[in-house]
Amino acid sequence: MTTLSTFQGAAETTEDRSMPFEAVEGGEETTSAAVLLVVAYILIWAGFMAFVWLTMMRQKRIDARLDDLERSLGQENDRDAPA
Amino acid sequence: MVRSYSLPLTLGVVATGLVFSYLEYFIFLVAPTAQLAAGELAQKIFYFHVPAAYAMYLCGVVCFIASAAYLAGASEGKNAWARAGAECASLFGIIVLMSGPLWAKKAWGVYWTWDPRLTTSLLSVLIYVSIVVLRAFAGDGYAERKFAAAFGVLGTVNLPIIHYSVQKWGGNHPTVIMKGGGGLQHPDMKLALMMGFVAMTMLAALLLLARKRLAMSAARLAELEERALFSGRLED
Repeated sequence: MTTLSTFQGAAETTEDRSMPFEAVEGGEETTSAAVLLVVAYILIWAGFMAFVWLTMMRQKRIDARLDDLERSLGQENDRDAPA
Repeated sequence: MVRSYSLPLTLGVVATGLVFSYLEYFIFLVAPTAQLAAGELAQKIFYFHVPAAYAMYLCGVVCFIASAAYLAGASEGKNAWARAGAECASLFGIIVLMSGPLWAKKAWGVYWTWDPRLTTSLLSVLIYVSIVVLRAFAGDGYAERKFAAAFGVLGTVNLPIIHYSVQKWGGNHPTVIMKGGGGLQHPDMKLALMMGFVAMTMLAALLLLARKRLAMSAARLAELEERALFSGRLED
């Protein structure tokens, strides 16, 4: 187990921490395919759910406003109609 | 008055939910993992990525037809379909652009490259997003609707270019299911893709209907607000 003292000991001097950067051809792909797959599906479903939720919320708000206005205008028409 | 959803729409939502549930099960637990060059486990993104691109084409075509029809003779219904088409094409396009780079990271080693298909897809999504932004912020007058419809017609011209870009200009994108492509070498891979197409078609149809209904309701609300304003029942 790495303890604080061993960590501090390992990095005592700047020479101990020195690391040359070397050019390599291509390199190696280390990203986990499983992580990429899960992230992709979470993003896809979050996108669909957000779209559906926003659509439903907006529809609900418009429907409520429409009901108010239709009731209000309907009462006005009733009042204006000849007896 | 309670505005309820019709029975066919409710059944459509339930059926789409069931198809997607089975598709998820099939993709994760039945379809085999592909070779390393295809992205290994990340290749399973393909079963959503490609059908989402197809759904973007589908919604783009709806936007194109409705926009062209609106330019020929304006009506509330045509405008609503054109609007719904652009909104859903934007959604599916964004899904494609989000899922593709995650797969590309494993298959190509990079999230993004200026490959012809990626570039033309990005262009199309930007066009549809700009139509949505235009309709949301530039008002809903006749001129704005007409401009958005013209944009919807012109924007769809890019869709065939995306489709044939791989054959015409090459790039990193593999040809898998098109003419001359390598094909899906396992029957379960083919089945997963077919189910993906069916599920995404059902979802696209539902979302188009929902957004068209929303656009029609918004137009009706604007009309009633105007009437109420004239009759003095609504403060400006």
